[in-house]
Amino acid sequence: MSQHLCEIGYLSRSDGSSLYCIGGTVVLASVNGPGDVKASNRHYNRTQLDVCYSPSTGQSMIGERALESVISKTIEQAIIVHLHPRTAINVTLQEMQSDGLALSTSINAACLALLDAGVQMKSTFSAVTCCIASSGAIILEPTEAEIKESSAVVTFVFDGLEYNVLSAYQDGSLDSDTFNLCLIKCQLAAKDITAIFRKTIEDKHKFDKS
Amino acid sequence: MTSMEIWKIFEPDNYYKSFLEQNKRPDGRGLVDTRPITIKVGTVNTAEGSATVRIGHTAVMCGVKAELAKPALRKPNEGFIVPNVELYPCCSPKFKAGPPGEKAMEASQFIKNVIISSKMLNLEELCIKSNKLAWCLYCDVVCLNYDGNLLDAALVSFMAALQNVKLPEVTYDEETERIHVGLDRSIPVILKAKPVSTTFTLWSEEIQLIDPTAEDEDQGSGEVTVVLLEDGKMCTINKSGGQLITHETLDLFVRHGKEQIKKINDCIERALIEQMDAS
Repeated sequence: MSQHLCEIGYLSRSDGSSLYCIGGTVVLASVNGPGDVKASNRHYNRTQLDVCYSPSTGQSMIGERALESVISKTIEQAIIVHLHPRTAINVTLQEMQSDGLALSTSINAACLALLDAGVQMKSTFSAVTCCIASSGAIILEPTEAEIKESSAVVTFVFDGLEYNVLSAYQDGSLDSDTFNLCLIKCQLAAKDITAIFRKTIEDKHKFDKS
Repeated sequence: MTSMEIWKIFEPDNYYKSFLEQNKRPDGRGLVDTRPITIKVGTVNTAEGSATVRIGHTAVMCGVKAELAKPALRKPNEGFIVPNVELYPCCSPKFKAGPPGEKAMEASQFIKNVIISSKMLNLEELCIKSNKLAWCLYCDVVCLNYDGNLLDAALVSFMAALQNVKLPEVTYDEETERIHVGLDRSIPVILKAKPVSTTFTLWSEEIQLIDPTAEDEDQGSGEVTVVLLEDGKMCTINKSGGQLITHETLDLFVRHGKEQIKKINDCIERALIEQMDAS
């Protein structure tokens, strides 16, 4: 597994923020809300979730917009949307440095930022990416170069309670046995990531007390 | 208005739940029954390849337009394929006019993913002259009537249209740089794989519905799409958010997906033969 580094409360003006890096990929997440919402997006029974993802270079194209919709549907499932009707929660993700793991880093950054903002969630969620090298080996959290050489890339998002699959996103073909193997490997890695989340939050509150 | 219709309007959730308790859906299907599918190819004469697909009440049309273009500098030996899904307001009140919405973009990206993951096309075969001339295939998928399961319908129509494509012969004279395009369309596009997708709506931990209608999608919480190749290998899987699922459920989806592969591909095959006999 690559090294995970994270920092919360990175931005002073937003309600919650985090900087998350896995290997060479760095994503900055900022959460605002629950706050004001445009009348057309106002729901009588739940909060509106807006996710905005921008890549480190270039403009947001169809690929990035699709990524955005995966992220937003994942977050929407985790947070308790019915708690704040007629409001909106904005999640902004800015990729600072790119090395192939944009999706999993963004999701992890978003989770930490939501925790920092104190948005109520059913459970935390953590994302792990793995790829199948041409030799058939499973590489957890590969670099961009390794992804280019690989035959398939799979990203899983697990919830923090039972570690069930919240989202799955696959590129490239693989047989179902390998897929299951990836799932089990990523599930184990997700437990480590949840532990990192816990430690980060604990550290923050230790600091607050003293 | 019958009392059933009134019930449906006032208590949509209870109405729907009462069907599921009997292991049925409001349209009379069981939980693992798919809707009938009809495919017709060659429906647009002006396009190089086209197909119209109906899955239940969902109707989707795909046209493939071929244009000559200059290959990209980075990949001088490759042609292009550009899938695009359009959801106009006429297919369902859910969609608004204007720039493509989230769902349309998701579907376009889904087809693009399938093309890349399955390696169905060798883009080098679309190149006519390295660095000078190549085919660009614009694959436009238009939804005519939306009743759920857009991704499956879009992929089937895309695959059928692509197998219907006939390109004219093109010669390129290097000295005069002149392009000569033959009159009759005769060259097919060679496909290396025929992926088939199967979509499920998650309703609860125990209940999953294959081939969802728009109503199923509204009532459920999230879809899972499994794309498999002919040999049962997994091509891509698309699950964004929605109800949590376990490992075993995913296995079950793949098993159901495998049953669909032959059925759908045979259906496309029959449509292609039918069109060939007619012309």
